[in-house]
Amino acid sequence: MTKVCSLGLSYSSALSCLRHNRQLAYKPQSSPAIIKAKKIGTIIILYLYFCAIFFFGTKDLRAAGVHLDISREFARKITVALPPFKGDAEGKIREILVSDLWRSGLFSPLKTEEDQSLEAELLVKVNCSLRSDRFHLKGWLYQTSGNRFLFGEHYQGERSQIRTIVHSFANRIVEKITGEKGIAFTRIAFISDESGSKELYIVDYDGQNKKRVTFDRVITTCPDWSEDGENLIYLSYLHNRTEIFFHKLKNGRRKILSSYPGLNAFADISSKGEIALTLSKDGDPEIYAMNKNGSALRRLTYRKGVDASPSWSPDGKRIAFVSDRGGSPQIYILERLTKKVSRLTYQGSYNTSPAWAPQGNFIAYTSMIEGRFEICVINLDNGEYTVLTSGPGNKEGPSWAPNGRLLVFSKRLGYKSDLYLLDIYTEESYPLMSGKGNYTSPAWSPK
Amino acid sequence: MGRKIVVLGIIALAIGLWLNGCAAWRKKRPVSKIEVEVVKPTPGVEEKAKEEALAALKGKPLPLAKVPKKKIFKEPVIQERAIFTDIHFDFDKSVIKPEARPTLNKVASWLKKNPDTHLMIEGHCDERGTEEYNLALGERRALSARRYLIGLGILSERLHTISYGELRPLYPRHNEEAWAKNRRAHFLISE
Repeated sequence: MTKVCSLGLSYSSALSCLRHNRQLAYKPQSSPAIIKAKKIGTIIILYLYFCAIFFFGTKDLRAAGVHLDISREFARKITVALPPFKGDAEGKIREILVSDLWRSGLFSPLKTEEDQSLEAELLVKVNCSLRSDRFHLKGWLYQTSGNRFLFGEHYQGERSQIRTIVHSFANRIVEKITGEKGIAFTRIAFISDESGSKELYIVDYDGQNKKRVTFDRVITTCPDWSEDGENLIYLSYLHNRTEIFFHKLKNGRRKILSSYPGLNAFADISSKGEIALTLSKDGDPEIYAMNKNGSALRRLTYRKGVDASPSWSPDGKRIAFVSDRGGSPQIYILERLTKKVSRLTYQGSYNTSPAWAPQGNFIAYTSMIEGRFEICVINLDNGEYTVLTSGPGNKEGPSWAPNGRLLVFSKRLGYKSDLYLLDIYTEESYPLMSGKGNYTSPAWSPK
Repeated sequence: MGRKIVVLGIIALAIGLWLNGCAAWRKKRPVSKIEVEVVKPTPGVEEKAKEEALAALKGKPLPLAKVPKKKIFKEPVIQERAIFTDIHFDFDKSVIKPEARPTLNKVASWLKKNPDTHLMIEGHCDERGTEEYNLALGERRALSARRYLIGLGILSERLHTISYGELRPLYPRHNEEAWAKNRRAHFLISE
């Protein structure tokens, strides 16, 4: 897929575009200098716009994601109007974009045509065409109040790349509004037993393109992504013991990183490529760290009892983990260099599977509340925790999307486990996908 | 013909030079010193087992040994099944219950009678914990049973552990009876 160019339009032409968009002829600008100038222009307009929000405190778009804080403010979503796309008679292209915007957690796309009124804060216009197997998408984003043109882009690629192209446009919209990277290209690794044994699968973040990764016919579990989002690391019982495998998705090649006597589990890769894991080779489950290739093993914990489920802080300086050193499983934080340990959770008698948010100030975990497992998040700044899930079923094993807003977890209801996505600000959760078999141990890719 | 003789001659000359070189190199090599190191007599198996038993009774963790490649672990044969019954644990606990002691004592005396065998201890959990934590808890249950057996005088290197957490329940039901049976340590013996 190639992005042909940014479709920069002057302010006045944006206005006219809104009024007479059908008649407008779009010409991709060929000179890179002009494109750059237009881009800078757009950035300046955006900057002025955000300044205006800051000064006048209007109830307009918020620059979410600069500093995360659990508050109802972030629960408010930006409404987006998406009139039917030109050249998309069946509405399939629009469906992908609506799903992307909705799944970003930031937007509330208006679904029906009657809704496409002036109420929406943003307006997305798209023209697409399929000519001799080349797919073209031209998209424009406007802010409706003041009819401000925010950006326009023209993408083209193969017919098979339609989803990729729409995801790219969705990511650009998210980046324009929040300044943060979109998650439309992220994937989720998980374990499914639909083949009869627990095997590793990956799926796009929107539940499409499910692919099987392992074919070992043994138990596979505890998957995690490498920091570049291109490889997977997991626990396999392939050789009748627990071993940590490193699996290259590109060519399917894999190698064993850890095969010590006893337990080898919960490998978690830091943003710097350091691996934390639990080993019991010294006679007790303890936390260790090692290099990406499995070398230079260093022991980090020394207390009797279970020390498990390490999760790196985004800067790779601290590790959240579970320990029963206090009598019941609770979350603790370990300083990587000094090996100093402090307790994080105190409420309840069963808190496990910590997941450190990519933005750093939250840790999600599984907590037993009234005999059921629920997903919780604790604010590291003030120690306050929020229970995010409720209702029937055991929810466990949260994993963060790179935007720090969404979580994926598994919910077991009766005999069936499924994966759900959860918005930590609105506390809404919805199924990722459905199918036969049990889906467990989800891990969201970092990119 | 003449050419062959020349080639053979060159080869002979080369071999001669090489041997000569070797001899010269040997002469140059310094005579290595003899190093003497004082070695304690290796402790007998019984003494080692006693030391380990003492450490285990004090609650010290004893490192696991690699499983010897030749050892293949199997379910005990019918005559031995009465000895190697599963031992059970309380919810979220890895402490050996008093009810489990007779079984472990029987296992220990069998292991003493069959000194070449190794034991694989599988740790299992019920489904009520989280899948992740149960993997660690299962290992800890297996390690508890192992420490108890070391305390009875079994060499640590004969006792191996594997945790299946809640991934291999014996009874896949959702009731207290099934859970109690699933929270177990299970034994496999090497041939």
